[in-house]
Amino acid sequence: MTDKPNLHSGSFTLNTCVLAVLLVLTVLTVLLSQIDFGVFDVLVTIVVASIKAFLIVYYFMHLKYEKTYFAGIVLLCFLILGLAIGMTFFDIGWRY
Amino acid sequence: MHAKDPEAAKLGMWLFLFTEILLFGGLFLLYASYLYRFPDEFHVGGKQLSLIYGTVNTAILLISSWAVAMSISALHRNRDSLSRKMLLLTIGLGLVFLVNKAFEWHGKIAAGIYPDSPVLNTKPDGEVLFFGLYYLMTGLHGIHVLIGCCLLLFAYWWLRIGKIHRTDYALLENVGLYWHLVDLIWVFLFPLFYLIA
Repeated sequence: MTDKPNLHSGSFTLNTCVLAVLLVLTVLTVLLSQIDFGVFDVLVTIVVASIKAFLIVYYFMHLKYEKTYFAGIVLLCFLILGLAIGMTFFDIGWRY
Repeated sequence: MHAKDPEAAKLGMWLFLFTEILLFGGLFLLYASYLYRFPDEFHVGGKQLSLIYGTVNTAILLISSWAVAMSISALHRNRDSLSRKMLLLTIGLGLVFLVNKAFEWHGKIAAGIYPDSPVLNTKPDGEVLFFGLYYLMTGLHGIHVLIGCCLLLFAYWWLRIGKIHRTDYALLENVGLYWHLVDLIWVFLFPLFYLIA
């Protein structure tokens, strides 16, 4: 190994910027929860949480630096979970 | 000496994390179905939780996630001492999170709100379900925080004795992945209990 830094991780600056965005999004989601969006309340909150989750998975969990198939299997996992939740809601929302 | 394959180690860790995601996913599904069934009672329940505690704990976990990421980045850049300090910071923040959670639970329990308590049993079904899920999900998450702290302590020790170093860091990376998952779950738990309801 040479002394060249291993770049399989984010720089200090990148990590800190990601943290700053995550904290801003947390404040944003608390502020947004004070506003009444009616039926879209849940949706707005889940969208902000999903953006935060993406930042954590992509930068902090190093998906950015992994081979593409890692992203594929992570997506597949969330897709299966989304499908299970989606189909259950389809059922409880419209069956009766 | 065993041949090491860091990519396979990481793949194995991710597969384990998927089972964790599906475990909490099942509970999220349960929460969502009851939220749909009892929106007003869940609203009343959510209003009784402290938004301050929830928000501060969210910030603490996010900063701790940053600290683990920094620890790995530091190790990759030959800053071993910084790497160890960042791990200690992560463990410290994890413990602060648990202490906050303990205060929060204590406040609720002192007010007579815990599963099967006389006070809670007089409340409507939706509220009983809300607090049941609150204790179950934040409790299960809390256990994960505790396990994560123990794993981080191991990682710190392995860094000290040189079992983890710049060219062999799969263990640190996997402990980091576990910690980020704990953070990831909280990112969804926080709005569900403290904001939506």
